[in-house]
Amino acid sequence: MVATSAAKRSTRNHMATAEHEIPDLPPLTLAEANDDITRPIEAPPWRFWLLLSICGLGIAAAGFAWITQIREGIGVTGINNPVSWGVYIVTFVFWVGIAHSGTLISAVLYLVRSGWRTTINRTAEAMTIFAVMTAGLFPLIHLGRVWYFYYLIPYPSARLIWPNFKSPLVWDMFAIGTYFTISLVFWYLGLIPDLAVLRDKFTGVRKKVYGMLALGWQGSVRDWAHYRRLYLYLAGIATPLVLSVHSVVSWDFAMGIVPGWHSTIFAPYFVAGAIFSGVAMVITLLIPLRWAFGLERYITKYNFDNMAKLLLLTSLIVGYAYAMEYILAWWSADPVEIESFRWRATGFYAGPFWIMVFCNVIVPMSLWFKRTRNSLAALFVISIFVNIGMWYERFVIIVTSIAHEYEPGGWGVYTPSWVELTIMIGSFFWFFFWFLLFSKTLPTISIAEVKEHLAHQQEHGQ
Amino acid sequence: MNNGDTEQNGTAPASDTSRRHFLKVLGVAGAGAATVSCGPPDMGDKLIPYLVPPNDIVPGTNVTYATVLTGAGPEPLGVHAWVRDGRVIKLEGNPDYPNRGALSALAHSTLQDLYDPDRIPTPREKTNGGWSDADWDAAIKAAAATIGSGPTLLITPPVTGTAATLYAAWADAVGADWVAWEPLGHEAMRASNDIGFGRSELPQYDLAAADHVVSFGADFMATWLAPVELAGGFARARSLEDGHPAKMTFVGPRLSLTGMNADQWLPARAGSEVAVASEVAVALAVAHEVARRKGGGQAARVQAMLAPFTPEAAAESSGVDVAKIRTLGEEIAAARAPVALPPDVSGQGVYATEVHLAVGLLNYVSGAIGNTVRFQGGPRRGQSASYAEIRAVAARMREGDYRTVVTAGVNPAYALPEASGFASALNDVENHVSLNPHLDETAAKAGWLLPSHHELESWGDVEIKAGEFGIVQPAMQPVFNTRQREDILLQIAVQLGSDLGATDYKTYLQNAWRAEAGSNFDAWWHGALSDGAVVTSGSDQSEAAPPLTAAAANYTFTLPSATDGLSLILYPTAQFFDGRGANRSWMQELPDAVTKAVWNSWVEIHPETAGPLGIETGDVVRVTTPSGSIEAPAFVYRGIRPDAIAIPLGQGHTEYGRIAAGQGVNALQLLDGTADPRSGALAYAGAAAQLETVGGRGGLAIMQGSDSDLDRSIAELINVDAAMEAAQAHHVDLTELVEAAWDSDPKSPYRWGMTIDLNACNGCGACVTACYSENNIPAVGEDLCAQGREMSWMQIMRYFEETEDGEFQTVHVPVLCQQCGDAPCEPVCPVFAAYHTGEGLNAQVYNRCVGTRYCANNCPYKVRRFNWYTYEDAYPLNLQLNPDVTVRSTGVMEKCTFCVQRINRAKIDAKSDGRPVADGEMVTACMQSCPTQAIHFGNLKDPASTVSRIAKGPRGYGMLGELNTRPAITYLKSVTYAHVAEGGHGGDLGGEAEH
Amino acid sequence: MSGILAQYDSVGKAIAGIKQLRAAGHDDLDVFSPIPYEELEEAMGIVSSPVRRWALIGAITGFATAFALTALTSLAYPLITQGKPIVALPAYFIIMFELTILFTGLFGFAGVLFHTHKSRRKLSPAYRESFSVDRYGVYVPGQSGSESVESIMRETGAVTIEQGVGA
Repeated sequence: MVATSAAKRSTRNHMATAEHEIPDLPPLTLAEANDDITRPIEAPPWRFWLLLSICGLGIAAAGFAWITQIREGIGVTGINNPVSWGVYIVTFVFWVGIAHSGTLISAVLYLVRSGWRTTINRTAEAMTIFAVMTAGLFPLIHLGRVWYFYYLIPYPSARLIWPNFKSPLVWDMFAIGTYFTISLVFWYLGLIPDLAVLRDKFTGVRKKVYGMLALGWQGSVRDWAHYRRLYLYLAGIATPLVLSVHSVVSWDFAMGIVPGWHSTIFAPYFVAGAIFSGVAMVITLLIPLRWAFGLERYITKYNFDNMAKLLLLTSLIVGYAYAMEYILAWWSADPVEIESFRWRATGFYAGPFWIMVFCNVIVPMSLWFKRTRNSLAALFVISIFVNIGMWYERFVIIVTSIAHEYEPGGWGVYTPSWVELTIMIGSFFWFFFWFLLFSKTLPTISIAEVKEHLAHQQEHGQ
Repeated sequence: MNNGDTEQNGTAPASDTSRRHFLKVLGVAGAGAATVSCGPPDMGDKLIPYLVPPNDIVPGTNVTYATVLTGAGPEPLGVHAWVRDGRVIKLEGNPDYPNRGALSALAHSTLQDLYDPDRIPTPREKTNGGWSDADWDAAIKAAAATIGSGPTLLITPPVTGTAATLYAAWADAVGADWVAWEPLGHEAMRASNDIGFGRSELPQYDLAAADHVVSFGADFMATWLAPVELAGGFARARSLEDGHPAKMTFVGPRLSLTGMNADQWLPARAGSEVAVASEVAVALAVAHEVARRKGGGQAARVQAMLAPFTPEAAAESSGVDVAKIRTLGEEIAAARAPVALPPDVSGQGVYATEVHLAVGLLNYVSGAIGNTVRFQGGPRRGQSASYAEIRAVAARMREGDYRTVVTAGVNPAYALPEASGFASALNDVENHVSLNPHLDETAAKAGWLLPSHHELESWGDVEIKAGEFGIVQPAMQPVFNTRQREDILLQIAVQLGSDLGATDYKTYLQNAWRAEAGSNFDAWWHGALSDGAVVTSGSDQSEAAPPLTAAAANYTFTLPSATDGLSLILYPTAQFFDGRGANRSWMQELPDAVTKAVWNSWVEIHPETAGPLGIETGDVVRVTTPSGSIEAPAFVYRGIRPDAIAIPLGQGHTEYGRIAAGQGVNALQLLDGTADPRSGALAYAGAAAQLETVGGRGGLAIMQGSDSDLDRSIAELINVDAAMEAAQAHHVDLTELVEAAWDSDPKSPYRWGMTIDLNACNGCGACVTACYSENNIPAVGEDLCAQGREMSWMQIMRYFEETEDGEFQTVHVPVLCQQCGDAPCEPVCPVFAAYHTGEGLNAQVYNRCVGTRYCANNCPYKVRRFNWYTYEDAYPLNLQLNPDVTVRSTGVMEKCTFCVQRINRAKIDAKSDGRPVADGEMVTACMQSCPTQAIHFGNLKDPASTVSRIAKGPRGYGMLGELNTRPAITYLKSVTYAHVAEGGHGGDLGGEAEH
Repeated sequence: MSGILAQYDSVGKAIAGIKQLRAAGHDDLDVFSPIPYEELEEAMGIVSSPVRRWALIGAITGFATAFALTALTSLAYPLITQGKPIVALPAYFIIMFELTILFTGLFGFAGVLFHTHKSRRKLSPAYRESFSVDRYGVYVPGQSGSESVESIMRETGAVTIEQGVGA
């Protein structure tokens, strides 16, 4: 629906002025923009290699931990009976959440034609792809017998048996697989014209490589027509997709009978939380990136102000969800539900719970003030808080619920082991490893789109 | 009734006994041959087909041998040993014995004793460098040489039957003294019965016939006298099936497993039961005064003597509410068939005999003697030296009266307090030959080790009751290079040139029975072996109710003065008994019935005592007496008097094996070794102790999260009157199906279901260990248990329920997979490892499982168990594994499936007979083992089946029924005489812990 | 037969040029642009793209595939879980939804690759690297030396005009 109406609008010129408005974008020539954005993609400085190798070490440590776990058994983790899902699933949900704002910014904001997405969507999409790449590892790491992971894949096997499509875990596999593929296509399609730019900018090997990746793009207007059509469609289908993915992830829990999981508000609650954490991560990434690559002219206060507002909005939604969970528990008058939530806030895991509330509900309230929204330092700190808070949110939801279920005799608690923590921390290094590579090899801002905006400004006399 | 029992005990109903009986006989026919026909113990390594298969071995089926266990607790237990390819894999009770087909947890774990890798594998001599292996001839020669060289002492456990004859004869032949001794003996009971009735014997307590059982600290469901038999008897008296359930009152300072199952608790001060007991006697004497006018003069004889023991005096000395004492007196007076049970060792102080005598008097005036307490047909136990006597023996050893000591199947160096001086005396003796199968604390001090067979490898007989004998036969070839204890003695005798009539015990045994057998001995012998029992002509003709002696009638009781400060209670547990269970992982990992703790020792402390000292469950505390001190984690427990602390016995071994050694503490070292002057019994109770915190948490692994079920429909308790009313008002259509019966394939003739009567279940844990034995469940060790990674498919949750009078009642709830018709665990599995079978079972396919563990999250009953590692049994423990059940490896989920392998076997049998599976034919391991027959299993699709009938009963409910998981297990509410508080639950009872 | 290539430095001029050239009957223009620009397409008379059909076919295929996969595999090895029907459409709809989206995207991308394949092997002789920076190229094939074309280009403000491009 959205897609088609947007398609109509996109064929009318007078929309152009409104939709292409980026107030703070200075009047530059296309050539200037071209150079500014491609400048970072030169021979990387030693600092880059240092960071990259640090990430490499982090990944190696996590790899060692995983090998230990496979050799000795999943028992090297802290999970137990009854808490048989721990840090792995928590971190999985965390990264899937991070992945969301990318597509949201590039697809949804594209459809509603808010121009401020233009200078950040490339980074956001890259973040999405790397986040999904990270998230996708955790279900595997979590398996008791990872060497049989392919039992989940539907293919005609000698065992004659197929996956159970009624299982939320299988839904998950399809949702996240689709999400990754579509995000990748979306991202790559947008990259093609920029790859052509790099092809024409460089010489030698790099010219060859970028040329190959550019798929012989030469900006023929006929090709642009196909390009714009597909870009619109992808935006159109990515929007329901982005909503579906975290809904499905939330159903991993909501489909369970576990008190604290079995709730209808989970889908919207998780989607809001995902956007919340995703936007926070975009801010966390963009502020250093902007500084390091001198992109102040492109990624402006205006962008951050908008992202901060989005952060505030989603924070309010998340806070509302927290409150609703308790109100529903009370309203249900179900002693099991009530006990579960009472214990969540006052029991063994009260610490994580209140960290979650402080980081996700209290701290973001400072964004009501324009001064906070305009202070990059403040935004950066807040975004870090939100990242931490959202990890703890998943921890609280997953662990406290299964630790304190129906059968009081079966209650137990869980504390993570070094293996789990190493792998969890390693996942951040893995994520930043890819992001660093991206930032030095591909344009972190969509050149074509920025130039499109500049051209429009010149044409329409802004 | 009888037929019903055999059914419920799991042997096939009389209708189709053919196969099982055939197998039994077949087994017996091969019994002699078995020892030669079975392969060597390591045959498990290679698969070698029989060229000419022995005719008693049918591949894939069990051969059953009937034999008797004398070493599995205080009573001899008739068992059927299931043998597969020459290996005993499972023990099941023999229904023809007093244990009625049931077994205790300890009895099941006997298999781990049989296959214990820590058994001494071959004769050994102590050299300065340690132990060096020897061959048997050398060992026998050496032993004979030392024994021949001077005065010798033979110490064995108490024995009956032919063994007793042999030991005596052997002692004469080689000129030795023979002392039979056991740690948890019955000296006080024998002594008091001698004083009271001139019979120093153990009477028969007929709990099944009783309507009010008063236990003065007797833990008769776990460790006292004959737990399996007595628990079964009480369960029958307690049943609502026929008439009004019996009431139980527990008098004592600490609620033991038995005490937890009592309707009311009179928390008498430790060691002061004498006061209460005689007080009850007074109440009865008064009551009987009235009766006397209508004739009956028993009360008169003791009234004068009991006069000083007024309720007030008793209350003062015992700390029990006067009203309660009076009420109890009246209740006993009014009771049709009351019975009072004397304390076990936990209540055995320096006046143990008085207590027993007082209880005896109570039984006398209440008319129990000759009715529920009969001296005719009482259990026979071998005569045992009292503690005082064994202490005297130790003294003689120290004085050098003996040149050689032969210890055979006893471990006094562990089971006697240091103060007894026995352990040190052993060092003083020049030669020490040990026939113990394990390198325990006693054997470790020996110069020669001549390891003897396990019972399941041995021949023998045992006297159950007067004139009733059980035959012990080997069920398999010896696992190690050991010899039967009696054979060793005979061969030593031969070496010393004395002839005892036979050179091997099998012959000796058969000779002993030839007179009984008559003309055709072989036929008679096979018959005896196949039944596992014989009844001789010489059965007990003594009078059931001997008169009260004058001595007793005029006995002057001395009331103990109440000790101030904390008094120490030491008690044996069902899992370790006198310590023999300590090297068996099944026993270490069987949660204690009271504390639910595993793999450790603990100190039970009342909250009021723990609070001021800031002690919480798991904190390490130090307990000090003049004789010594121990450190162990605390367990805060409301079921103990504030002025007492309790420590379990059986742990703290220094030797005995890799599991037992260094596990927990041995509390015996807290005793000063004083004895009851009249009976010579060791005073386990009443020592004054200091308690102090040490700091640090001892990490007591407790296998239960919360002590309260928070009024969720898990542990349901109902007042007896309400239950009776409900039973009257309850009318159901017995042709209707149970609701859960619909949760199976319409084409399937079966929907397997189970009922568990919480009124019968006493929490003894026999079912749990039976399940370990049947289903190859690994024991994971203390650390993993502390992490909440126990593998038990069946857990007995112990929940406290508040009563109106501010007391609490305990409900024991066996929790296992409910085989839900609407199972939350099934749809969430991405690979169909969990699915619903046509017969309604909630199947778990290990091969498919990839280990997402979603099913475990989604199980409301928390009965799914995950293999965090691959657990492997050390050889030869793996020989015990049941070939019918997959051994699981790391990364897969597992759980109970109603012994599906047994279901399939039953279906195959039925199919080969061309009939449906008969009701009661299919028996799960837990049901088979249950001493109280709390569990029933069967086909819910047959409205006439036992399980359907019981499930439709007035007390039936589904656990967490409101979740609509449609469980196939129906629990029957526990019944109590107490008044259950509305919505009351044990919110913050002692012992609350979260793993 | 070679043609004429004009380079413009603003999109507006390029559009004007295109319009006049097409008015003069030169419809087989080849226009290069560094940016996506709707007016350019309109000037070229491009109304829509066949990628639409690719996407539609993809969507239908995806939905059908998912339906077949879930329903048929369940029937091939029927196992009951929690008393749910063997073919539980509400649950399976999630799979259908995801595959619909997946196939739409992949087919669409395939469509783009297909319709832009002409330039895949080697770039057009009329292509200049400045076209990916800030220049707009208008190429009239086969008109090398045509005065009329060149004059239109000059009038509409082309910065450079090359003759004899291509061939």
